This record gives sequence, structure tokens and C-alpha cells, in this order.
Amino acid sequence: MIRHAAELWLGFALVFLTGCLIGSLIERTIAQTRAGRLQRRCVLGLLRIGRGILWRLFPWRGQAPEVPVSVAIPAPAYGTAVNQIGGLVPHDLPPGPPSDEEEEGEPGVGPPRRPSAATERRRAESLARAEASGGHRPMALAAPRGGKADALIAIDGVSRREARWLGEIGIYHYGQIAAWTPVELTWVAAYLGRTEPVDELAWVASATALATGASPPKRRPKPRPAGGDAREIVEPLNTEDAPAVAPDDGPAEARAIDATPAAMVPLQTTDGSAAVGPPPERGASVAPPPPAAEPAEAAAPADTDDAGLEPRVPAAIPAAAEPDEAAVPPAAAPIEAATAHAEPPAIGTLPPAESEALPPAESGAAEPEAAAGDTDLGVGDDAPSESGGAGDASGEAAAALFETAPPEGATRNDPPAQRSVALAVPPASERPDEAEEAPVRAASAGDIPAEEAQATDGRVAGTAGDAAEKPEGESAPLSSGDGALVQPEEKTRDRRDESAP
Amino acid sequence: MTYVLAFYWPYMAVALGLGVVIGWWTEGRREIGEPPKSGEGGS
Repeated sequence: MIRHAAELWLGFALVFLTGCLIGSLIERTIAQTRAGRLQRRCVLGLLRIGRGILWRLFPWRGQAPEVPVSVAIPAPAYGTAVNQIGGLVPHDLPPGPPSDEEEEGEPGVGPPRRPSAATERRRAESLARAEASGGHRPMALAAPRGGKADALIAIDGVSRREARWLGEIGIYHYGQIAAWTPVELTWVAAYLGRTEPVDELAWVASATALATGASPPKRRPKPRPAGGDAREIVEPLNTEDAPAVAPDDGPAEARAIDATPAAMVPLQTTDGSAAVGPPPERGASVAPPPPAAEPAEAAAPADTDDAGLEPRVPAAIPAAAEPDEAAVPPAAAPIEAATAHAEPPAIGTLPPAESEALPPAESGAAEPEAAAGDTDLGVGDDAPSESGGAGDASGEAAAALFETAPPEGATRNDPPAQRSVALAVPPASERPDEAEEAPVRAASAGDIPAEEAQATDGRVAGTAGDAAEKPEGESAPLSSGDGALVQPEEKTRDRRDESAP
Repeated sequence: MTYVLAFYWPYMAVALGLGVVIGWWTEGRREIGEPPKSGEGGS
């Protein structure tokens, strides 16, 4: 059976192979005759039909892209970026090398120019200086991305020339600068000839902000020259509790300027120094912010600011001219500092009779007015007080006592008369502006009982010499200072005229 | 072998004809230069 099957399949194979041989011979025979073209067409037609059938049966066949035998891979375009790293002088400079002579134009824009000999020399020196700085040269670009460089001049602290120099070494974009390390920043700073410490350069932060689209960091304020405007120093105190800051207007400004020296006097007298015109920083530090005299604090730094030749808080004075407001003259805070030392020595130095001889208050502020009247003791010359009996002699004598007597045993709860005398001790003629502005404070203190006002605001009342509430020519200046500063009389007169109702 | 041809000669004829067609087709494609595709056999 097996032999029978083998014979059968062997017979089929032999017949099939014999047929293939016969078919091949037939095709070759036909190809050598005229029918060879027809036979060829038939073969092509059959192939086309067979492809069509295969396309219908297997539509996905033949759709995949043919994999090329070899792919042309371009050579790595490292360009000059790599080549520039090692050498001092980039041998393939981007277009537009900056020069010292030409300052306009943007880096990397414009046709290539042949650098001059001076530019080449400067460039070599800069690169040598940068290499000697110990930093690393940052990675450079052969050309700006997209052919357009960023405006590096927008970076904080980068000038136009430096932006051009950065373009010279292949720095075109904010992102490049934002990626600088401190070592690279050192190199660039040396290349640009910057002498300041690297940590003071805000290029990276600024470039980062510009690259990310965030708002650029604010430029750090440069320290102003000493002796110029003292606003920077006094501003914290001023902005903290200075509602009186107001735009300047004509007469108010003039008054503020006039009031400046008077506010400075007590600052000096408290220290016992005879120098005139203390520095504004000292005035700000000497006058601490007491809880009862906020406007005075606001005014005090303003006056010290005036030492910077710029009237800063002129509104404090016009506010003081209005009795209904609780504004305090600029000299109030210094007076507080002055009375801290001035009160004790004066107690007991004047006889009680002299204290009792003080005139009664004219306005609602009884005790402060009385204190203001006491201050008239030292006026005498140009503003006689109502007490009448006090003159220059008594004022000077009291001032002498005030200066010599040590502060002992005095408390803030001393009798009002004693306090008023204590405040009246310094020569009043030397601080007329203070005397004319203090009564406003006295008027504001009139809302409280006399004793309380005296206990809390005795020092303020001591400064009183209200020109606004007193009759013309009676502006009684008060001085708690030691007379170091002599106030010009015309200023006093002018101020009296302005403040007079 | 004789009984194979005696009983299976129709099948032997079909195998012979199939061999002739395949032989002719293979030789014809080779002549026109059509390269054999992968999976389709041929040389």
C-alpha cells in the first residue's frame, strides 16, 4: 500500500517536472519566432491581471514605503561654535563685528564688515583679559537663531556697546545669558571690562525675565550722593505716619522752608551740642514716635528732609495754621526730645510766683496757652507776651538755669506751672517759628482737661506761641533750645504775617 | 508503475499540463526581466 502510494506521487512529480520542462522549451521556442512579442504581451497582461487580483485580495500590500538602501546623513554642523571655544580670536565672526568707533546698529545685523586694526587689537585685549579672569567662555552661536538677535540692551546694566560686544562673541539671545553660570559671567564681565563684582551684575536675572516674558526685575536704586537729598533716609519715617504729605503749593512751601531751621534746633540742644543744623539722620533718630504726637512725627522728618534743600512736607505747616485740626508743627517732635531733658532742670528753678504770674489762657486750651504764655518770658524783644513782666533778662536767666541745672526728680506729672516754666526756660527769641506753630497743638489739646493736657502734652504746650490765635504782633515764640541757632527776624515776621488770621 | 498510468493517467495529464503552464510562465517572466517578488518564489 505504501509502495503503491509512493509510486503514485512519484509519477505525479515526474509528470509535473516534465511539463515544466516542456513549457519552458515551448516559451523559448515561441520567443524566437514572431509570436514572441505576442507571447510577451500575454505575459505582461497576465502579470497586470495578477497584480490587480492581488491588489483586490490584499490591498495593504505594496503601501509601505520602501526602505532605502542607504540614507545620506549630513555631517554634524558644529560650525564655529565649537571652534571658537578653544581659540582666543574667533576665526569665523558673525556679521557686524562691533568696534569702538561705531556705536549704532544692532549686533549681528547688517553686512559683514572688515574690522579695523584697532578693533582687532581691542578685541584681542578683551579676550585676553577675559581669559585671564579665570572664568569660562560661554557657549556661543555662530549666528542668531532665525537670523534675528535679541535686543540685549534691554538687559539691566548692559549698554549698547556691551550688547554689540556680546554679539561679537556669539551671544545673541536672552536665553544664552540666562544660562550663564557665575564662572561664565566672570569671563564675560572681564571681557566687557566691567570692574564691579560679578554678584552685583543682574544680567542673568534680567535676561531670564526677558527670555521668559516675565516683567524684568527692577533696577536697584543707586545710592545717592551724600549731602544731597535726604529723602531716602527720612522716607520710611515719613511714609509710615505722615498723612500730612501733600503736594507743594506756593505759600505753604515757603512756610515749610522757613520752618526748617527751627525744627532742627531742639535736636541739637537736647544733645547739648552747639552746632547748627544737625544732619537729617540725626533728627530722625532723635525724635522717637510718641503715641500722643503723631502729626509731630510726621512733621519732624519732613523738616529734617528740608535740610536736603527740598521742602518735603509743606502741608504740615498749613495744617498747623488751622486750629481745628490736630496737626502739629514740624518742631513738635524735636521739642519732645528736648523736653525730655528740659523739664526736670527747670522745676524749681523759677519761683512759684513767676509761674503763677502767667497769664490766663485766651483760647479753649487753658493750660497749653498758659504754657505758651510762659514761653513769652524769653521773647521780649519782638513779641512781648501778655505776662509783661518777663523780658529778655528773665528769659536769659532762665535759659542759663536751664542749661546748668541737671535733670533731677522731675516727672511727667509735675504741676502744669512748673512744666510750663521748664519749657519756657530757653531763650524764646531764637526759635520763633516753633513758637508760632506750637499753639495749634495747644489748641488741639484744649479738648482735654488742662491737667491731662499738661501731663501728656506739656512739652507740646511748652512750645506754644500761637500766631494764629494771638493778636497780631504777639506771636510768642518759644524756645526750648540753647540758643544755638539764631532765627532771622524777617522770617519770623513773615511767618507771623502768614499765620495771622 | 503500469497500473498507476492505467488508473491515474487523467491526473498524470493534469500534472503534466500544470507543469507546462508553470514552466512557460516562469520562463516568460524571466525573459521580460520582471524580478521575482518576495514570497512569490522563483529565482
